[in-house]
Amino acid sequence: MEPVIMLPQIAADEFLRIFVVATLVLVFGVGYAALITLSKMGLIPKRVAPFGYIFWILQAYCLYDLSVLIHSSPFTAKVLMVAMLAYFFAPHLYFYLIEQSEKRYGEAEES
Amino acid sequence: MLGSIKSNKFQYESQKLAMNYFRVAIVLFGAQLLMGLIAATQFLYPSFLFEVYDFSVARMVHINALVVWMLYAMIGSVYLLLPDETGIEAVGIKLGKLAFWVLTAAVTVVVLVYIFIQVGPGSEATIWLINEGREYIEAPRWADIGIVVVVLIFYYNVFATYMKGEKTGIMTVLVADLFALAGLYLCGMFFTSNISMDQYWWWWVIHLWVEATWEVFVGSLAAYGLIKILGAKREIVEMWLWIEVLMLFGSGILGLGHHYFWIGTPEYWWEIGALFSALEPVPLVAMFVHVLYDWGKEQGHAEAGQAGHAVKNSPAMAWIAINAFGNFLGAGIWGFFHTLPQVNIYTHGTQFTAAHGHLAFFGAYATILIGMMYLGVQRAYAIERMRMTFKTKMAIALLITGILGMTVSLTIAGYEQVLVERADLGGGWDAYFIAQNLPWMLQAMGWRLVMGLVMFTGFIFLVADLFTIGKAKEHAEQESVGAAAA
Repeated sequence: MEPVIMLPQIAADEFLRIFVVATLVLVFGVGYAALITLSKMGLIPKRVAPFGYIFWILQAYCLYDLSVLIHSSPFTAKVLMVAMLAYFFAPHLYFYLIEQSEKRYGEAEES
Repeated sequence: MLGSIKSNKFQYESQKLAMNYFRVAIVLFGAQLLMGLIAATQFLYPSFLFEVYDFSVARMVHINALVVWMLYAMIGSVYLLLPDETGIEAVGIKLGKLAFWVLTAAVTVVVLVYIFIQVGPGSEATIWLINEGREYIEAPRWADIGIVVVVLIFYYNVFATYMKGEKTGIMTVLVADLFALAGLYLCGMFFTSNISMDQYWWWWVIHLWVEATWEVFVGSLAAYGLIKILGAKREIVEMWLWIEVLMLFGSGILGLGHHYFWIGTPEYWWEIGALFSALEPVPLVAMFVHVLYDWGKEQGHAEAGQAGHAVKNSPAMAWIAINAFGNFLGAGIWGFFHTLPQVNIYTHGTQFTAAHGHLAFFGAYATILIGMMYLGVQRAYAIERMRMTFKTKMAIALLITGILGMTVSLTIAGYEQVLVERADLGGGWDAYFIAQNLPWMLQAMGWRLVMGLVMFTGFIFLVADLFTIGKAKEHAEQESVGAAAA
């Protein structure tokens, strides 16, 4: 019989931590995007926006912690960290595109 | 809404047809909640309606009613926005009306058969006439074929109107998305003798509908809503719609892999499913930020006193904003924390899945479709600006409290199952029943029922609001016009 491929086992008492950490990955991710968005909207002072990077760091740490807790392969762990780097630039790219499109269509309307 | 049958002020027949779809959708929404309450009661008291109306039937009707009311509301939403986007009447409107009545008659027969004729031996004939046997899409084969015919008529209407009228970005996305949505249904219509292969194709309907085509559909509705309600700039909204489409299909299509972990498909699906499922929340964050940003920006313009920037329909806008939160919470957070195979091997098929399913369907789809119904009511009564009433607020508060309460209860039940049934006892037959009878499970199920009742009360407020908000606003506007003239 072919050997059965087994997934790494997770200790039962680590489940709660896994769920909490997985949730925090997304909560911190939204926190990072939200702080930058709110400052762009002028709802919070611009000086508060850099605190968003703290959320990003916490998110990156939580994702790393999650990959360790679920015994991800080294390759998957690296892919996740590259994804975090991409996410770092995502809100900036988002608002760059918004500003450029507003300039473009705003100018088109005026002319 | 139902009261607007004779009093509507729509310019287009297509939009009148949209209201018909909304009316049936809201009736089926009520049926879904009622069936959910019966099934939730049977979880606590298994003898309740035993052999009269079994749990298996209540659960099946609960889920089928959910799918069908959402499809009705989606078709209604398309008929509502079609003339606005294309600038013309739907080209085959008479055929569209006929399809509506045929579909409604067929759904009625299927529901009656679900309710009254589900116990007995299965045969080739029962597949054709009683129940096709696939979870969530149990409609018998005659109804399956009927659905395909009706959807083809609907798609013809959308496509032909699009080709004849103006081609906006929203319509282009919808035309492509609806083609995929309709085509994928065919994957659930044939059987193979191998259960793994059968499940493989079945997930193409279930997953690729819900996590790809429906999400793109929601993005299109949100884009339309932002333009209509806030007056957001079309070019920018459509640019973001295309980016969301890219992200949703980019992550959602291969995110299908998280359903292939344990059905006998090759193990490379573990890596594919894990990676793309992990990416699935990203477009949801983008949609969340997009709605929030546009809303905040337009509010800023309105507060600065700039003309033309006020919210034109606050109940619809509230539901679209709730959609952005709900989509992220239900599909994003509750999906992400049990989507990785290392975790999913323990959570699969537990109440965790039910918690995710409840919050995701309500948050991602029910909310925006309710918002579209409010947009329909506004158009039916030609109301310039629609404001929330007491009933709107009660409906929002109770529906959200109910769904969040149910989700938390089911999550607690699922957690108990993971620890006791799966981790401690190994997930066998006995383990299942031991876990089902522990106090954590019973209390969680009790709270789920209570929260279901809260939700049903919210639904009653919602229906009352949709019935009356249009007439009340119409009278208020007439009075203010009369007072100004005097």
